[in-house]
Amino acid sequence: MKFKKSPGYILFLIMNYGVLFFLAATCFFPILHVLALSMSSSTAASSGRVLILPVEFNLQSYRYVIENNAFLKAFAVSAERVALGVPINMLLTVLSAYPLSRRKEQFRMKTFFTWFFLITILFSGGMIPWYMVIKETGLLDTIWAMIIPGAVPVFNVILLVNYFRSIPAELEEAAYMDGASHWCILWKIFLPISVPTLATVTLFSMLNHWNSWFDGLILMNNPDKYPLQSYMQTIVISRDPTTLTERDLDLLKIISDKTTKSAQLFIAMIPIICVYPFLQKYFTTGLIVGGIKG
Amino acid sequence: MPAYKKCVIVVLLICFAFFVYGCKSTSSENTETEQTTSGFKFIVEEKYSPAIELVSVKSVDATVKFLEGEDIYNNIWTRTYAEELGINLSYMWVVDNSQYQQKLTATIMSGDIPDVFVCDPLLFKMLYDSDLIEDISEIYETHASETTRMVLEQDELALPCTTIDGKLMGVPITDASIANAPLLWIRQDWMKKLNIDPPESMQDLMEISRRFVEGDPDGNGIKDTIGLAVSKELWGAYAGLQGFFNGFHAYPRIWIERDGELVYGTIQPEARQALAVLQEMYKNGEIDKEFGVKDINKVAETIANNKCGIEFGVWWNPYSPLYLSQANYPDAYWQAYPIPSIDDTPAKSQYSAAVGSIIVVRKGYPHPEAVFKLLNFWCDNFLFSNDKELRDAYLGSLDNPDVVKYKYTDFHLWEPNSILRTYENVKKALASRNTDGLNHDEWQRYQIISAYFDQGIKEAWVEVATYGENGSVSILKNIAQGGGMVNRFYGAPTRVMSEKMAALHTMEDEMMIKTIMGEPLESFDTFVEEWYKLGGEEITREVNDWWRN
Repeated sequence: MKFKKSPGYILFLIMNYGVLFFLAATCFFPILHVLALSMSSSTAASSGRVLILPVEFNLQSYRYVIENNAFLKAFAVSAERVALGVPINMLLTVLSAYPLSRRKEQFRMKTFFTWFFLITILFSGGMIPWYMVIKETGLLDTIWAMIIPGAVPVFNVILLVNYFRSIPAELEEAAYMDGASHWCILWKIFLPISVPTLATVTLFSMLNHWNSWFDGLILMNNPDKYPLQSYMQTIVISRDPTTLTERDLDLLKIISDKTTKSAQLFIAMIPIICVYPFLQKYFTTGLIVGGIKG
Repeated sequence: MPAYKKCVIVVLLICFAFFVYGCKSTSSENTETEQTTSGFKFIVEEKYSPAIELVSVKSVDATVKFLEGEDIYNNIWTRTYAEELGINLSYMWVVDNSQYQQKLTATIMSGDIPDVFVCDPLLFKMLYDSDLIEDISEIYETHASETTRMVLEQDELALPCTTIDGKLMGVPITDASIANAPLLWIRQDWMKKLNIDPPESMQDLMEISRRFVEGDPDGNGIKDTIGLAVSKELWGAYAGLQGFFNGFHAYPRIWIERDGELVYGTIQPEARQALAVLQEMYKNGEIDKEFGVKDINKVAETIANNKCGIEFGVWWNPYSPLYLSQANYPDAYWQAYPIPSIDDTPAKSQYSAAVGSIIVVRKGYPHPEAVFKLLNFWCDNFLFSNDKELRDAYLGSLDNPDVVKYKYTDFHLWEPNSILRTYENVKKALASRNTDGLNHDEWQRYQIISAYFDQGIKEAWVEVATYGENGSVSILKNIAQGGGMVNRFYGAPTRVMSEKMAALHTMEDEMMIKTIMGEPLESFDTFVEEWYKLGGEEITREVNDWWRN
């Protein structure tokens, strides 16, 4: 069947595409701008002549980044953090979500444990106790300080619990009848069904590890151990202009150097940009595919 | 069972990861590279024997770079301290400048106080109130060397800043106070082009600003220039408004003496007058229509873009951001002028004590005098040294300009008056063409300024506009000799002040920006009332109590 293309419908299409294109453009513009800045000459960048096309094209700033040890070190720390943090996050998320998604008859302490997790979202001890706990447990200044304290991302657990709950009980019962244990049900049935949610949660946890900067700054005792975003924060920071003195002049030159800053920002974006397309498809395939028929 | 196997494998892998990391962190112990300090002779009173331990904390920033194989824990300074003074300086942690205060607070709260460390005035007051820092009045008398005392006492506002209840509780890290006095910067090449004379009064300045907007000084045929550069922060080190207000004898953000009492400058009637003029200028397009959203980095772009010709800022502005202007347009030249006045009374540039940070000693640290041993070591051996080898080894050399070595230690003081002396010496040398007796730094500046005049190297204008004969420093000299208005309040923040001043400042800025952008002037009057009500009255009382004591 073919739609009759009324003028109204065509207008709608135009408007629709127009608005969507505009939205996409507003998202895309900043990225292009940063890319253009990173490839421009630094005088052009500092005088604000660069929009989305590089002015006086050169790759000097990328060369600076490649030769800049601090950036590469920080990149490695971040990669390490993601490589360690995400598997631990995922394992613990799955292992805590499964029991919490059981019915009360199956898991008596369920209410207690649900609150046990929820409380950590509602209340926090504040920065000083957080710092002291990490210090007293001897994690300070090690990469684990950025991984263990956030090892169970409660928000992700809740997402997964909700998804597990939505899985029809018949599936599980059928498996149970066939002699499957809880482990077997979790690994063989729940996880394969939950791939879309798992993908989402993985992405969350990955983003979280990649993007967090504050813990690195506070918990590491040496800038050499900063993860990438903590390092980035130290170069994109803007100083309070009322307390500037002449001794800050050389710092001022570095932080106002837009081209190298942009190059570093752009490179730091790449890993996440690369991950998105692969996980994106799970967001769109709908969260309730599969399951039971009839 | 494959399901079990998978679990077991995952668990094993994680155990393995833990194990590998455990091993790694123990095996990566510091490999100590023993390098000796080359044979300089130092003036040292007495070396600690046996050596003492001094634990500190350190902030670094993106400009701190090291030679191959060195780091903050092991560099020429730490080695020299150990060898010459018998002080083993170590750091609990090292953090980027931007997070220093936060991390320091966390560390102190968790009960670990470093032996000697640098803090800001606010934390300084808190440490004193909690009785966590040592009274160093006596140690100062007995252990500070003559040079150290000279440097610390040169700026008469410095030591009072760190004296509470008559006790010296910390060493102020001094800078010249006059260095933060605002000056007037104007594009001289534009004035020449439009045939304008230097401003004698505020009225002249407003005329110049008008002509900069209408006279098309950038010569592109479009009316796209503005007069005065203003940033949304209002009181920055460049593109600020302090200087403009000073021209009307108004002194925003500082405490001035009036009829035997200290009063807050922003709320005085003169400020209203200045605001009225700014409002007018904004209406005429002499101030950027969008200044309310442009921070100083954005304003720097406007300046770099050849779009504005007047700004109020401190003496070093040519180094940043004004050099951008010349970098893009080779003929650009910014000249500093004293703040002009609206009437017959000469205008006074405002300035405040420049104690941004303070070195303190933990209460109960067994060797509090070590802090002066470290400072003496700097003042006696480096501050006035012209030994090129020594300077290259400890401060940084021209061959490797990125590695600035004095930044490895916090124990250095700079002589507040050095800017003025450098200016005098360079001036003398330029007049007589004789470089004898210049120190290294002065000699460099002399060379650069000569290059501008002899070889026409236009990039060298930066030095000409600062240390040159009519440069900005020449105006500072005037300000130092009584031509300035000093902030009369230089104590640690008082109780209500530390609670409410930040909010009052925000309110003040909002009122300023809105009024300049066209709100009726009455909003200034309501602001003054509000200011008193929301804590200003108590603060004024506190400040006056402090002043009378």
